[in-house]
Amino acid sequence: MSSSQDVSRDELDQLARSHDRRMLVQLDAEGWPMVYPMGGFYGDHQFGFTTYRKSQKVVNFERDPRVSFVIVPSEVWDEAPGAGATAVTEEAARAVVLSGKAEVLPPGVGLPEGMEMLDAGHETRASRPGSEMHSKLMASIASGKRAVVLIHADAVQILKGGY
Amino acid sequence: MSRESIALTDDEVARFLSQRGVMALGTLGADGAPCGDIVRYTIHNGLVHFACMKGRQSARNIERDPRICCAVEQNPSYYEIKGVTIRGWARPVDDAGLCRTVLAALPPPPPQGADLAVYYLEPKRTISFDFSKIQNRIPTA
Repeated sequence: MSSSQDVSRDELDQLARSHDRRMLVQLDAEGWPMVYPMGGFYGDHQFGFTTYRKSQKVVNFERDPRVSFVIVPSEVWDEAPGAGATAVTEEAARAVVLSGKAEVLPPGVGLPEGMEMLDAGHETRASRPGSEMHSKLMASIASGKRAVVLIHADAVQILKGGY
Repeated sequence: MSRESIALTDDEVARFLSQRGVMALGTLGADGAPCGDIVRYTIHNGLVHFACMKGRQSARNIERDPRICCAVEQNPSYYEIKGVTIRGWARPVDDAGLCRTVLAALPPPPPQGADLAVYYLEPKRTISFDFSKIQNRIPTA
C-alpha cells in the first residue's frame, strides 16, 4: 500500500546519503513538468546542485522557482526489470520527495559553507574533489559560468510501497 | 558539444527503455506546482505503460491534468551515463485485459488486490543523451 510521512531533519541527513539518485522536477515556460536526473550537494539539511547559468533549468527557475526534488536509493532506481525483481517491497521507502522553491545564487557565489558533494567518494562522480573535472567545476562556479542552485523544501515526504 | 550529437537513436531509445523498469515521473499538482514520484513501467506496443495506486498523489494529478514528464537514466560511471526523458500525456488504460497484461509485465507484478490505475504515455517530445558518445573527454580520475 502506498503511504507517506513527514521526515525530521535528522532523518533527512541519513536519507540524503542512502538515497543516491536524485531527480529534479520543475516547470517549463508552458507549465509542463520537466524531469532532470541530477548530481547533488548536501549540507545543513539542504540539497543543492550546480548547472550552467544559461541552462534551461536556470531559465525555468527564474520564471517559476517551484520545485520537486526526488531522491531514491540506487537499488530501487536500478532494479532490474522482470519477474525476478524484488527490491521494492510494500513497506520499503522507495523515494523521498522534497517540495518547495529553488534559489539560483548570484554569479560567482559558491556553495554555502558546509555543503558537500554527495557520493564524492564514488567512482561514478567524475567531478569528485581532487579530479581535474572538480577543479574545472569550481572554477566555472567562481567565474559565474555555472550557477549554484539551492532547494528550499517546505515539505519532505517518504513515499512507501512498491506502487 | 551540442546535445544532439550525443543523443540516442530511436532504436537505442527503445532498447534502453526495455532494459530498465523504474522511472521518475513528473506531474502537476492542483496549483500547477511540479510533483515528483518514482514508478515502475514496462514497454507494450512500443509505448511506456506504468501503474500507480489510485489514491496516490501522482494518480490524482494525472486525473486532473494528464501532462507528464518521465525520465529513465543509468549512471554506472561518468562516460556510461545514459538517459531518456519523455514529455507527453498520460492516457488511462481502460481495457481490463490490457491492464492485466501490463500489470503482469511490471517488475515485479503488483500484489493481488492492489487498486492500481494503469496509464500509457502518449509522447510529445523525447530527449536523450549517451555520454559514451562524447568525443572530447576530460580525465575523470
